[in-house]
Amino acid sequence: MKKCRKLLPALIFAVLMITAALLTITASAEGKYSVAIDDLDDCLTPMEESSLLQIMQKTADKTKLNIGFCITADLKGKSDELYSDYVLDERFGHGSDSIVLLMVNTYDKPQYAAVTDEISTSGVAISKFSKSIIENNMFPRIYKGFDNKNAVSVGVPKSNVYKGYSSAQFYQAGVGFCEAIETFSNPFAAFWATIGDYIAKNVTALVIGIIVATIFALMVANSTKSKYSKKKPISADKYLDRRNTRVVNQVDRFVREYTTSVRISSSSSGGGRSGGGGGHSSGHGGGGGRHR
Amino acid sequence: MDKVHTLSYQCPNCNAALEYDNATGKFKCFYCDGTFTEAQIKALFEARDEAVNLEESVEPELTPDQQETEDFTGQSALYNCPNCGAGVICDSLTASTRCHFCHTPVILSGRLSGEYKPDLIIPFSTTREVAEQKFYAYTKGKFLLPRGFRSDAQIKNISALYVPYWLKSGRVDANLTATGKTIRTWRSGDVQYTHTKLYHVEREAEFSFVRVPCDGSKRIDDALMESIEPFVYNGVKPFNMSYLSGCAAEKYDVTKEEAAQRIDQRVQQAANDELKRMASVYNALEDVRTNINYRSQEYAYALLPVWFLNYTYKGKDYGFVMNGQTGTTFGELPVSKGKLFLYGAGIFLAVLIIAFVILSLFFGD
Repeated sequence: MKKCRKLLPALIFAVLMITAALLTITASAEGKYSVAIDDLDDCLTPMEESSLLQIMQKTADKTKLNIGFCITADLKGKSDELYSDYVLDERFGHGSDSIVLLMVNTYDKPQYAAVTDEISTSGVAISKFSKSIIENNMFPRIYKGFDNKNAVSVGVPKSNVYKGYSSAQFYQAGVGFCEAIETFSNPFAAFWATIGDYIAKNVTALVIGIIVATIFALMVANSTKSKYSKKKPISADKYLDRRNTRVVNQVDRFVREYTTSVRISSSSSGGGRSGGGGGHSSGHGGGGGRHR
Repeated sequence: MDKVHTLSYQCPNCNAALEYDNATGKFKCFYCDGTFTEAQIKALFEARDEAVNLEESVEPELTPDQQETEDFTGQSALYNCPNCGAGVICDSLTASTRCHFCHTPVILSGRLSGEYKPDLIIPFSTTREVAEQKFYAYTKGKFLLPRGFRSDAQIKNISALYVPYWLKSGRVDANLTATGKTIRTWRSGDVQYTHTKLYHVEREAEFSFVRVPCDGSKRIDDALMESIEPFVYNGVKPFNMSYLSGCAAEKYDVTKEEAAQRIDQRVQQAANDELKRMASVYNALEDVRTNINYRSQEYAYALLPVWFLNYTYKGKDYGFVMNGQTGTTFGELPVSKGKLFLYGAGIFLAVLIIAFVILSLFFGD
């Protein structure tokens, strides 16, 4: 037991070092991976497109994935999920290790009322990027840049390319997409990033949890500490000679009586929730963003 | 500085120092392994002890200068070891100790004569080994203790001490008046009924308390000593200085009247509790008024056995004590602030994770 205690700091240090090493592992480029941008709705300037391609290439080489970015206003009769799968297959081949972001400019067309932005995956990317990670972690990062009205870009951006959004915002969406791929392609980093995102979405619960944990920890610590100096109750009844106790007088005189009543009420409550979803084609994974 | 008369008990076989052996209840020479009963010791040393008591029952009168010097120095004393003759200083309350040089048990007979002569003594019946085992058992599993508290070096400091006690016996008249309530509840449909009956209650009784103790040393915490009670008085013996041989002892510096205040408090509380027990048929007692008076009372001064271990941590003293007769233990234990912080932090993290997960299901998206 004593030996284990002595080794404990060394073990903790070793675990931390291994975790840090795994977090900083970078993919070696054994050959270039493909990147592609299909700006079919003309939402990016040439300079932005060129810059974004470079960023995507670095990410592709680091994560060993083909990366695609498609902006369109026409799904050619397909669903958003099937169209993103189609773009992936066309660009990189069916079953390749690839990930594609599809942003759909719906222009409020009635036939596109249910259409959302999509991310499609294939190959190893299916297991690396689960639907939950795509929808709860990657899309928030993409939209963080996309919703920023003061988004920075390269060169002179085009304003109002779609519903008041500038080309810089689409550019930042692409940059956010690359950052999300790099973060969540590493399982350890993905784990901590997921935790961080979950905490950020539940700040109220975190604050209440901190208060509850503080009170509970203080109570338990104080209770444990008090056992170290607990004094037994002091009574002299141990020295009472009960054989020589004599009852001299005992009076129990009735005074009065009364009755009170209280009505007891009960309540009940109930409730419930429900939800739904769609799907990608065979050999693909992915998840949905929001309708724009 | 006052020069104190000393004496020790020598083995009649080899003249080495005799000590009281807690395990056997006899006097033992640790040099020649000779053992002697209490009756044998009494026969050997009774005459000498009586002569010493007679000689020291009259306190020498001090001149004003000597009195001032004594007050200024705090009444410490110089004694000569009866074995090696070394001169050693001890504090004013010590009545039995060991020579710091030759380790011979020395009894400062002057400190136990006259008004300071105890009436009774309960000899030690637990050994050092038992005290050490009890200490380990008491501190086992207490993970907030500072490092080194349970070390072998620390436990070696445990020492046997005869603590001065005032014992008060007496008969008290106690009476109680109160309003007693009996309460009955029942439910009919969605209505809960409570029926209450009120009574005027009186209880009057005579109680006998036998030898309620209060320690007679100001430097020992009363609550600490009360935590290792009770002492079993059928083991009490008339005082004889020979029992102190091998143990430390102190004389009292709390007067009988001061001790009586503490004892009376305890007696009053016990009598109140007993009267309330006599009215336990009631669900509740309100407007309780009690009155306790002594019908008769008597005092005795006794030396009672206690194993002591004192530990200083960050400038504060912590005491561990064991009843030298019954083995009852109690201790105030120090808490390592670093360990307490880590413990609290661990609980905080664990509760935070659980609470966050549960709360996020209710408050989250």
